[in-house]
Amino acid sequence: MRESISFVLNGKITVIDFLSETRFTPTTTVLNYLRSLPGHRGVKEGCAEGDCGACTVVLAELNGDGRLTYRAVNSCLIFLPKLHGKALLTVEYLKGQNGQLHPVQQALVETHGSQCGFCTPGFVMSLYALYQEKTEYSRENAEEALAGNLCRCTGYQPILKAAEKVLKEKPAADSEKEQKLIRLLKNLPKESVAVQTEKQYYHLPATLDELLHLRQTYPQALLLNGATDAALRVTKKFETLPAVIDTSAVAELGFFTKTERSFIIGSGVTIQRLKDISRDHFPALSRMCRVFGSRQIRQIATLGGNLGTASPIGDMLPVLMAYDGTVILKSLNGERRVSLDEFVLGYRQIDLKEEKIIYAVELPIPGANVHIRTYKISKRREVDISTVSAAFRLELNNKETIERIKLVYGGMAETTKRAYKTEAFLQGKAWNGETVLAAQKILVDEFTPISDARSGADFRRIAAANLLLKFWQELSK
Amino acid sequence: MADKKVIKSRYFFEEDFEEQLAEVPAEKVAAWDKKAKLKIVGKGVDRYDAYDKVSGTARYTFDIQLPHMAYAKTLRCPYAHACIKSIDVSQAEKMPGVLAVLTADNAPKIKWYRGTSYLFDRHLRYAGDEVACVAAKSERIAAQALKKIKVEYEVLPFVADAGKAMQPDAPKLYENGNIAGGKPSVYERGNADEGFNRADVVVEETFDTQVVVHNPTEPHCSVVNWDGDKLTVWDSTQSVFGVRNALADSLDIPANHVRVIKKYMGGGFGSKLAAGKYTIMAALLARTIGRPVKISMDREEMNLAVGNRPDSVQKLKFGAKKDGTLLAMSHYSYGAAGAYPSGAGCSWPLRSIYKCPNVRTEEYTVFINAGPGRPFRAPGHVQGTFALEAMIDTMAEKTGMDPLDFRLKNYSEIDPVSGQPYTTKRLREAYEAGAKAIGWENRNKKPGSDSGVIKRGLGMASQIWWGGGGPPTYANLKMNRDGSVEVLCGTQDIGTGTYTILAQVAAEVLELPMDKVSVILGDTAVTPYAHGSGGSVTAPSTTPAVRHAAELMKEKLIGYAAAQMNLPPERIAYRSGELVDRDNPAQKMSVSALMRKVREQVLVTTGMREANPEGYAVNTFGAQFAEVEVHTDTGKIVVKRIVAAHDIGRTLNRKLLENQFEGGIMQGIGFALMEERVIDRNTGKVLTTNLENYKMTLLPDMPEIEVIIVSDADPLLNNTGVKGIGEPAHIPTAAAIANAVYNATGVRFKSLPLTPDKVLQGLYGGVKQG
Repeated sequence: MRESISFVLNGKITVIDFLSETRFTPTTTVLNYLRSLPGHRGVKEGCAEGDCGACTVVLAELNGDGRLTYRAVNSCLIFLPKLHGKALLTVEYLKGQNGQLHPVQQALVETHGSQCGFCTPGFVMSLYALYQEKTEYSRENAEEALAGNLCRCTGYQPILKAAEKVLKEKPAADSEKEQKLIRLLKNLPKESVAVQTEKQYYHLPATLDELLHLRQTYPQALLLNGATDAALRVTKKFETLPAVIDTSAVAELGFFTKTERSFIIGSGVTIQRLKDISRDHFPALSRMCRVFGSRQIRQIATLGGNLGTASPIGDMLPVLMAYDGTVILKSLNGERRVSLDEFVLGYRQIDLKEEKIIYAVELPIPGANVHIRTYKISKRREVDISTVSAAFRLELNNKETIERIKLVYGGMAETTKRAYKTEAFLQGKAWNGETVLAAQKILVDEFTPISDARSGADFRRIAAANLLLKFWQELSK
Repeated sequence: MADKKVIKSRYFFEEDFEEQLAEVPAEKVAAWDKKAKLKIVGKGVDRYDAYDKVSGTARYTFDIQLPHMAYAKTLRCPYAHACIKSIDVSQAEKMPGVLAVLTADNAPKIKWYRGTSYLFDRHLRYAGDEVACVAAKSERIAAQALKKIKVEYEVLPFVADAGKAMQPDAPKLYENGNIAGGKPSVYERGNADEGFNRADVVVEETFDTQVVVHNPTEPHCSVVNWDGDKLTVWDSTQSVFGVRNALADSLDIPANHVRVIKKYMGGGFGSKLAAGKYTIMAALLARTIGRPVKISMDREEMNLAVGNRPDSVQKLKFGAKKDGTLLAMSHYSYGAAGAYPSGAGCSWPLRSIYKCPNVRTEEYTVFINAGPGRPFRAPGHVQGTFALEAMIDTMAEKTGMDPLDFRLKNYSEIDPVSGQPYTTKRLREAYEAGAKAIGWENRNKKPGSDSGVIKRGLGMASQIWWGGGGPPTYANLKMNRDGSVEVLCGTQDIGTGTYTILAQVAAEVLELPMDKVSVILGDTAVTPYAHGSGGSVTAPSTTPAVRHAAELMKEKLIGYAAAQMNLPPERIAYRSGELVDRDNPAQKMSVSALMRKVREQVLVTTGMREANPEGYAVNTFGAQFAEVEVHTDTGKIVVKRIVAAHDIGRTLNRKLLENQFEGGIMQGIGFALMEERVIDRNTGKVLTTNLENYKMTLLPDMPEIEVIIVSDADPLLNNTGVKGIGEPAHIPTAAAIANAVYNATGVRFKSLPLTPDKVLQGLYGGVKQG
């Protein structure tokens, strides 16, 4: 048990001892930490809530086979202890010894990839992660990686050109720098961290067992993995979080197992990884992960964290419900399984009872007669909270009649909701255009959504009904 | 060439014609020929500031940190309309780390908003108005201290809608009522009513556009530092001289005691053209506590308190003959200035772009209880062009004409407002080039005739703007003993590439490599005067001044060389960075060799922007064409392609130019499809105070873009033949998209932004028909 965290900052081992440190606390964001240091002001603050990407930094970690993985993340959404045992790379790390630019920087120079330049270090870091991960260039890959970086000047065209240029060229990586980083990372301590100050208790357990014990001892503590929600309480509402248990170092939560019948996915799996895991057997889930926030958020946010917030407009819950997902809850006393259909009890309320943590989600692999699609309506193509989201599951029997149907909506009520009335109407009917049109009439009145800054109630109802039609049209193709 | 004279200069800047005295060269430097083979100007050379920006070493005001610097945060009014009954700051002052608190109780009475209010006013007119400002050892302490300030408010009735604010029984923001100036601004030529009477086709439509917010990535921020009675201010501003004057006036200190510096800044788009209250508050706090103070807005404040593009409701009536000749146009509009003076007029494009003998416009700028407006990338033109160009399309349809033919039919060869000829007008060429590039013949001949769930359509819109700039603008050029050059100019590079183009011009004239030229901008203590960076005037005002300074430097060097070589100056020629004896070309010396003889002297010249030509109208023109897909099931609009064809004088740097267009188009897509400040009508509070709710265009929203420049140069205007492009790039985008949506669906959407809501409502008319 330690009271300090150790990480590599731009090639130097850095230790923060929270007991002697007066400037930082365990809930200081990495952004505020960096900006308080001399010589790290390349990292910019554009919004401090994960919407602009100006503060993008890269976290490098050793993976199982001894290689480095690079993740671009929003430094405004992570607390310092998340760095423990990892390498934090900022734009200052990229320059060569004589100040020569890294290929991604050089590409941005050549394409005029910045105007005012305030967002540029963020783009540089997003591109750097892609480059280090040896990502193939495609417009889709560039969009996927850069949609979380807002630029108000350039119109993105030169940045896209820079991405194309540098990813297609693929010059040799700076292996000397990488080797040094690997050596340093190997030497970092990995054990759990516990910080108790006058105002705050922060625990970063390293094992599941430790986590469960802590949960038992501190039932009131805020459980977090990323801090995509919690960071805003600190930086925007100026709260002090009195008790935090950070699950991000618990490797046992990051697991994934596949059986013949189902996938079991640990709650610590990031949305980005879930996107890849689910690609073949749960394509609708994978697609929803793809449009979940930005890449910088997907690489911090976790499956468990998203379920834990029970947001009525969360994108994950409807699709997991459509896949008949079951959540596995754990405590020292054992395990309990709850169908995701029953997991959310009310507005931002979940069924955790005496079990203290979300351990995993089990998804049965759907059969060939099962059709699952997801839809998300938002103003912007990406990085947008849904106005309405939907996930539909249709099981047809061999007579093309509806054996079973599940219509799950987000954004239509205070929680994710199934359209039970419409489902009941559809049950056993022939799956054709006529049936769908009739069902739409029921669907339009099934919910009483609200009007808010995102959209009007009428629109939500039309859209909800239209999505069913879209589902039918897509399946008819 | 060195002779100069003082003239009354008049040109259009953002919202109005500006007239000022200006010193100009008596004899103009001959403009570069249209076909001149320039070596550096026109090329897509790298940005001067590229290294600093990609390496993260560029220092913005936001990054400046001074020893013992304190941080200030502002308490803002939580109500849309209120009066302060009392303020108690005692609990805040007691907090450890709090250094000073400023309120209406202890701050000097400094007039603000053109004298309509004060720096701290007890009458608060919008949710976000400044109530108090705290300086503390850290930003976090300052923010926490704000919560400890107890304010007793008398909450007043509010009005957050311009239409309602014009009603006689509406809550009043000012004693004289809510209409700015008490009456509309009216423009008339010919007789519109008579025109309508003679017209075969008359159409009347109402359009509306939303409030949008600039949201530059770097927040508005200042760092202030007193050294005795001298004040130095780093400010993220588009106008260092404007900020200096505001500080000197507000603090009642001499202008020469204030130095305002701006090096790099993270965008402005008009929102940083005027000094902000925050800078003055920081200066007052810094003087009180004897420490430097940094103040910066957070994203919520950026969306509340530092400007926006006013909304508009526009009623247009057009009359035409059967053959498509426009006979009359009338335009009635109102828009919300917000709580303090700002312009909301939007009829200029209608008045100025088409040939039409009878025009009447009537514009109301209305005060409401919301954050004040500020110029935003072509004020008035973006919303005005949306309504105008939709009407033009409608008239074309009603007269059975192709939209492009209708525009050509009503093409104006002279400025219809002044009756003057243009220095250049290549709109016809822009129409042709744009139509060809987009494949105009592929549009739906009958709007909405595209079958299928996803409907495709093409649309276009015209653009007019000023963007010619003018004097006064000065630039100094210094030549050092090693032959290196410094260009000094009081303009600001707000991201557009001003550093780069000024270096290009100096390097071109002096035939030096770019790396021999450095550029210093935006420092009131060292750079000669130039205008605020707005109105698309920067390039056409500053580049001729720099060229003039460089030509004078050439002359000066010839004089020095003549003396050194014991020859009459006429014998010396300046060729490729060398001073050559015309009669004996073998006898020559390089600039650096000559400068070594000059030893420690620094040679200095001052260049000036020449006078604009008399009797001409100066405008930029263009046309943008859009291809869109409308998803009729979800209401989603996808912009697939934009072609921008423009007449903007000479291209200084092809890459900078394309980038300006791409950025302007991007913001146009945002205006067309997603950006919108939303106010809760029950509370008068803004709901879209972060970038999750205030949506701006991201990479995946971007279409393919093609930029076509149909102009070569405008040598009548200035010696570089350059006009501005920042605003022209942005003006017609939303209008072209809206017209394309009409072409795709056959449904005319008259309200921006074109959100999925509105599209579905428009297509299905209401829930029951869904």
